[in-house]
Amino acid sequence: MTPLALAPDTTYLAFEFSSRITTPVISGAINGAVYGLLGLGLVLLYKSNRIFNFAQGEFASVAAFTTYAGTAGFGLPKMPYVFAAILGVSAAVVVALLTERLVVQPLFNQPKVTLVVATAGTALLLIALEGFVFGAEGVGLDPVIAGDALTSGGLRVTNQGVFVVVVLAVLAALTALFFSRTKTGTAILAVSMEPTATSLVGIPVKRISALTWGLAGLLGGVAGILFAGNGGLLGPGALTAFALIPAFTAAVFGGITSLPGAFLGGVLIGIIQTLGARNIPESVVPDANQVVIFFVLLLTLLIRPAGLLGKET
Amino acid sequence: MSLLEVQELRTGYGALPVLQGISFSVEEGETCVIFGLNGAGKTTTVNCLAGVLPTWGGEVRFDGKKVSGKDAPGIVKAGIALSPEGRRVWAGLTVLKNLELGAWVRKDAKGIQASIEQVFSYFPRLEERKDQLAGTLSGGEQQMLAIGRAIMCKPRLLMIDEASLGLSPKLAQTVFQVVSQINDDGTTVIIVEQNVGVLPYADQALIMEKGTLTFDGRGAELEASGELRKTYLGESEQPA
Ligand SMILES: Nc1ncnc2c1ncn2[C@@H]1O[C@H](COP(=O)(O)OP(=O)(O)OP(=O)(O)O)[C@@H](O)[C@H]1O
Ligand SMILES: [Mg+2]
Repeated sequence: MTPLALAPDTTYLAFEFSSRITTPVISGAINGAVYGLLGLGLVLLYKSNRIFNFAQGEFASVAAFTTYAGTAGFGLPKMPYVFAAILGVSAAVVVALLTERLVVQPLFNQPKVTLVVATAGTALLLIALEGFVFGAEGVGLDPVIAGDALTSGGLRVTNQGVFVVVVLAVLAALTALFFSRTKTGTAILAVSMEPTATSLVGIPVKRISALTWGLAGLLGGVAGILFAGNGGLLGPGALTAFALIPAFTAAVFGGITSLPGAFLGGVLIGIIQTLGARNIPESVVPDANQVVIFFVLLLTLLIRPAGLLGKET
Repeated sequence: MSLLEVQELRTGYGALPVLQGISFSVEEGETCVIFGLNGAGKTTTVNCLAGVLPTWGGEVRFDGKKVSGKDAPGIVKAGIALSPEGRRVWAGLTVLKNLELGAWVRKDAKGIQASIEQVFSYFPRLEERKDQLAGTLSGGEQQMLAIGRAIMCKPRLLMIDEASLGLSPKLAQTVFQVVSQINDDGTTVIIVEQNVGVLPYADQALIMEKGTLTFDGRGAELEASGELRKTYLGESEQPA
């Protein structure tokens, strides 16, 4: 064959590569950063309380809705985005602290499964509240930073996308440092291992537990605002529906107790999910973006239950 | 005035009373050993003194000040530390982190460093393994770490629950010798034991039975009295 005859094929391939590989990898990494952030909160609570917190997605939704309420005004003067976002994250922290105080503490000595079911109940309650206040149709939250950072040859990277990845990287690094370098971080781990012995050296176990949930609320809140700002409608339970299972998969994939693992796991899951959705025809596997996640979760549990970076501390 | 004064102390679990109102005191600088059969209430006693269990009635005074009613952190700050039954070291943290975290209530970085050195001088094994995860230590090494961690609180009164449980007789003797050295260095000690090998180190001895004290006297008296044989072997008034 002559090179000339090949030319149209190459353009076709180039076009395909961008829409099937490059673009999904980039947009997947951005979604995945949010999964990772939500996953960090899950890992944090798993490390300290040995439970999977089903309400983590709704800590995130609460933050997104509150931010929306702040920017939309609701009869009050509209707030600048930054203040609304701070209010949103604070709301998530407050909800997380209330969950700790009203749900986790009273049930702490019950079997863990009771506690896990109770967090699922908390999620349902929050979803109902969101629907009551904001309606079932959903609202649209603006991105933190509008505009595009890069557009070229079919590729488009939004400012929001870059921001999401940077925020995740910074928060993941800070959380990892917090656990390995600070006394308070070590105390959280100690409480998770031996609560009674921990109180015996003078560590206020209840305050540490509240702090852990507050931190999880903070991480979840940031994740929620970033996720909702990526576009699409924010309905009641949105984050539980679209982000909680991928975040959980990210946490398991990363080794459930590993913070960097959740980070890496989130980004990888996001990429795998988008790649799957773009390349598996709907006629072969409907809803491939959901199915792919379960597939990864199952494979991880079967092949390497300890996860990517799974080991204690 | 005694360092520790316990008066009519009562506590239990849920609605179940265990301590029926026990009274004793411990002198500063001494070693007090608490003997008793399984289920006699020894652990209940030290846990209550450490603030892990609530006080139902009676009063505990430490250095003249009332400490009953304080929670565990409050008791540690008052100067009483407990190395709990079953060791309870933080398995996923290194030996060094276990010791550092033990000093939570202290702010003096230099003093904390000195205490770590001191623990290493009592238990050189721990220094050799200072970067190892506590969960991978042998049972005996974990016991040393549990005692070391309690020392890191810099207590005036150190309580050790079941120091020798699961240790070989030789290692148990080593632990007793270190405890006696800690005592010589100025810390008052209460040690819960089933192993009579601890007797030579006991200034004071208590025997518990079903939530009450059946003997409170000098260690030497106890040896002569035959009370221990009576308690542990169910024999009465026979020459030892
Ligand atoms: N958590 C608990 N809940 C209910 N009862 C308990 C609890 N812990 C101990 N008890 C009961 O309290 C009594 C005293 O127990 P304790 O642990 O103080 O005994 P002990 O003298 O330390 O025994 P051992 O030598 O076996 O350690 C026992 O009858 C025990 O069954
Ligand atoms: Mg006991």
